[in-house]
Order: sequence, then C-alpha cells, then structure tokens
Amino acid sequence: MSVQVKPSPESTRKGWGFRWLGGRSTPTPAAGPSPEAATVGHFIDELIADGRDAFALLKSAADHVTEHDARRAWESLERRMALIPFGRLVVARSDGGEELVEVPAFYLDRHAVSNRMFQHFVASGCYDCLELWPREVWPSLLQFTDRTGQPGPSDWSNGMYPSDRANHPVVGICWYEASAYARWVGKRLPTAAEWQKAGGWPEHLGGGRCTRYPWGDLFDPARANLRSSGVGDTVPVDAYRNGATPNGILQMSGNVWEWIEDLLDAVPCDSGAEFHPWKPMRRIVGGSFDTYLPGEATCHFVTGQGTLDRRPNIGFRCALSTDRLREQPAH
Amino acid sequence: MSTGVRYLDRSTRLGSQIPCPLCGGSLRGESCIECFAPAEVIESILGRPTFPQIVGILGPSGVGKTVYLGMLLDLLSHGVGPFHGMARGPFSLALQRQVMLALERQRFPDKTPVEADRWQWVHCEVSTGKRRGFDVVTPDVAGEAVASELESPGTHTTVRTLIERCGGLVVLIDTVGVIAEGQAQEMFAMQLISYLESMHGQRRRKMEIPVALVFTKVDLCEEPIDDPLAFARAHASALWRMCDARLRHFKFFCSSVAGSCGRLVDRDGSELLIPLRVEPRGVVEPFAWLSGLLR
Repeated sequence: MSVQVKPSPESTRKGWGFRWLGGRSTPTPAAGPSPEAATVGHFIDELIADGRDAFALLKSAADHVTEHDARRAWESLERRMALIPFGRLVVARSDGGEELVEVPAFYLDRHAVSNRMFQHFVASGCYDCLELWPREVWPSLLQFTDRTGQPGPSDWSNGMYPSDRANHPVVGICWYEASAYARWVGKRLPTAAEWQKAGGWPEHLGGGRCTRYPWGDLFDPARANLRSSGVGDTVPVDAYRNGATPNGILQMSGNVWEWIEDLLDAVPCDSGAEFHPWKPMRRIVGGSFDTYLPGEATCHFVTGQGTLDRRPNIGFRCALSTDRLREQPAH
Repeated sequence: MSTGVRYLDRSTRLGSQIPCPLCGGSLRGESCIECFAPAEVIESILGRPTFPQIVGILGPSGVGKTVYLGMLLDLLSHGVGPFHGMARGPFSLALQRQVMLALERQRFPDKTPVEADRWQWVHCEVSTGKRRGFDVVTPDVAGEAVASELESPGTHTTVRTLIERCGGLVVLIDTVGVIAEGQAQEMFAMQLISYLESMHGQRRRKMEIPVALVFTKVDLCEEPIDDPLAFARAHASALWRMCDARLRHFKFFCSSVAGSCGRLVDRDGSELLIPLRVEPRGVVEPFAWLSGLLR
C-alpha cells in the first residue's frame, strides 16, 4: 500500500501537514506507519481499528494488500456496512413531479458515526490536516472547536466526548466535519437518492416506490427515537434494533438527523416559485429525537441546515461506492 | 366538572341579553358588542365553575404569535411534562388545526386579520401534575391591533379588555429584529409593559402580574439560547431595566418552532418565509413558568 508523508507549507497549528491523509496525533516528521505497523499486516490492523478498513479494499491498493489481509478488511467492512444493490427508484422533484433515477450499488454504514469512532479522527489530528478540508472552509477551521476551545464537536470538552456518550452518535459537527471524517475513513457522505433507497427499501430492490420508514409505511413510535418516543435526547447508535432496515441498517429514522451530500437548493413547491436559502445549506435526512412530525422522519422528506451549523441533533453516517472496491474473495 | 355549555344551541343567546364576562358588554348575535369576543367563547367561560385565567400572548406584527400559540396548544393537547391541555370547544381547535396543517405543508399560517371580530379564540382547560388545573382563555391577536391600542388607547377594545383582565402576559420579541433592525422590537415590548402598568400598576410597588418575555425565531439566530437574560441585557438593555424596575415576576425565554427556515420567491418577486421542519424549542417553558404564578 502506498503511504505518503507530505509536509505541508500551509501549516500554522501544531503538526500541520506532517501527516498522511489524516495521520496520527503524535507524528514524527519522518514517520509513515509506526514501527509496529511497518508491515502491511500491522497497518491493516490500524486501519481496521480506526474504522478505515475501506482503504485496504480500494482497487488502487490491491497490489499492496494480500488476499489474507483483504479478507480481514472485508469482514470488518461488512460488519460495519450493509450492501445496497443497484436499482431504480422514484424520487420527488422540486416542482412536485417525480422522476425515476438509477442508484448504483453502494455500501452504507449500519450505524451513525459514534463519538467513539469520531474520537479516532480528532485524536489523529485531522482538524489540523488541511488535505482533508476543502479550501473554502479553511478560514472556519479554527472555529470547529469544543466547549474548551480544542478541535472537536461542539458538545465535547478537552478534545473528548462526554464520558457516558461513547456509543451515542457524534453531534455538534457541521457538514464539512462530517465530510472530512468520511474522506479520512476512505468513504463519502451518501446522496439523497441513496438514502431513500437504503431507508425506504423499495419492494423489489431493482426499482419501485420506497416505503416511508425502514419498517414500512405506518409510523411506529416504538421503532424510532423521535419526539413522540418521549426520550428527548440521543440514544446509542445501536438502539432501536426493531427499526432497522431488512439488511440491518439502524436508525435511518430517528435519533439524529444525518448530513448527506446533496445541497439544499430546492424544496418541493409550486412551479414558478424558487427556494432561496439564507446561507449555503445541505440536506439532512431521517429526523431526530426532537422531530415533532413523524412524517418528517421519512426517507422522502426534504429539509436542510446551514453547511457550517453545528447542531445538537445532527450527525452522519458514511457511504462507499462498490465500484471503488476490489473483488470480494469467495467465502 | 361542570360542562353546562350548549355550544350548538343558539336559542339562549338570541333570546336574552347575556353579559360578556370579559368586558361587561353584551352578547348580541354572534359576539360581544364591546370586545368582539365570540359567543362560543363567552358561553364557554360562563359554563365554567370559576372564571378562567386570561393569558395575553402579544407582540408586534410578524413576531410569530399565531405559530407560538398554535404550537403551544398542540404540545399541550398531546401532553408535555405535567401539563395537559383540553380544548373547551371546537372554536379552540381551529387555531391549532390551522397552524399544524400549515406547518405540515412546510408553510407558516396566514397572517391574523386586523379586524377583532375575525380573530380566533382559545379556551383551554389545563391540568397539571401538582395542583388543581386551571383554564386559559386567549385570542390570537393581530399585532397591528396591539400597536394601534398602544398608540391610541381605547381604539381596540379587545386588546384593552385582554390586558385589563389578564392574569399573565407573554410578550413575544423577534430575535432577528432585535439584532438587525434597531430598537423597534424592544420599544414595542416596553410600550406593552408600560400599558400593563397603566392598568395594573400601584404607586411605589412593582406589578404582581407575571410577564414572560420570549425571544422568538431563534432557529434563525441562536445567540440568545444559552442565556436569554444575558442576551436581553446586552441587546435590549432598556427593556431589561424596565422589567427589573416595574415587574415583580419576569423572565426571559427563547423559542422557535421551525428547526430551520428558508425563503420562497414567486414569479412576482414576493418573498415567503417557510419553515423547513418542525422542531419546537422553548414553547412550553414560558407557559409553565407563568402557570406557576397565575392566581
């Protein structure tokens, strides 16, 4: 596997640059993988521990990763992600009409990214790694801090999540932070169509209309953490198993809204009217613990939030296109 | 509990003169000739064993009174914390229905008409976990009418009656207006406090009527959320000083109903603010605080 250490002349904060894409928090200037991880096998272990197993499975890395290591990475990836096969589905257009779109096969995280997982990103110094962040957000990077001024989600302190919330979804992160994390783990944010297909589970998978909720069309307050469930706060990312999709993706409805890739540049409205956001907005989906109307927690509902907003009810999960991945070994 | 109201029986109101329990005027036809309270409201009040609490929810035009009141009613009707509200007649559900149907379509409800005889009223029976329940009666008042009454007392009898009879007041203040549009919002609230004092004030004593001051639409500007009092002292210091000097019971709150908003621009170029979703915050808290102080 190719591992590069790129000095970065733009560095202004501790450790700017001397990191491979999202390198370690305590790098030495000449360091690649640590001595313990000098072999590819050990490096695969590190990637899996950090939730970055996708890097070991990229086609571009195939020449450097053995079948044995790839198999381990596949096992890890499939524990964490579910496959959504290619298919067509009907999506709503902003003018109120509908259109049929094709969604190529992809993997989607079974759980929203938890505080514990996001801690790897923070501890690895990724807020200082400019390669992970688009240039337009560099001026805002120093504002992505926790309660104590350390880089991290807005509800953390001293670079650490609240001790009783390791397995809760990470919140208080803006769209750029979600996107940077996704890049760091070798993935990306899902699109609205992908979300609809994964969460709405079209009856024939190859196409058709999606159900409103992962379990069907009828809302059930026992299956999702919305306001009507009475919890009033986030719950662990693996709670509400009875609200999972048939292929084992949890909380696509409820607990936290989730950032997705699409801009919010239109909402369904009468033809002739145009949507104008106050500021750049990205779509969020799925509803959260304080979502009042269950209909807003469906996979079809269109809403959004300012791209730089760091709200306590918005988290995210990652997606990965199958066409980037090497062949899966036969089981 | 007595429920002696015959909502569908018009014979009583047509056959005799019923005194309006709100203003002392007379019910003639479908409303009071003085304060324009609808007959249904008057009969609803008269059908209760004790006179209800009147709570005024007031503020300038566009501050979000209708949305706040409709959302409050919906929250209470589903039960929130120890509070549970029950509409005292179909007229009390009309406002709630109008607001929630609009929000479900990602729209805000239509503006409240200026004419008092077209306002929607609410009579809600509120039960609490701790003590005897109480009734709340309030109309959805047009901001222009409040402004008109504050400028020229006596021009809007309903507003005058409401403030005269109220046991508690919720004053709504547009957060964005406070930050971006000068002192208009602050001055409006100060006028209201001053008007309240002209009716309830006593020399050398602070007013006993509790006043909740609510910064609305904080989804558009979250600055006040962490500490509404600090925000008031920083951005509406004259109002804060006035409250401190004149009111025994006051508290600043923040609220919003939409989780986020955007604008629609139609072919003519006219803009419409739209809620992108419903995420009520700080709607019940001012009411809960007031209810503990209502006499």
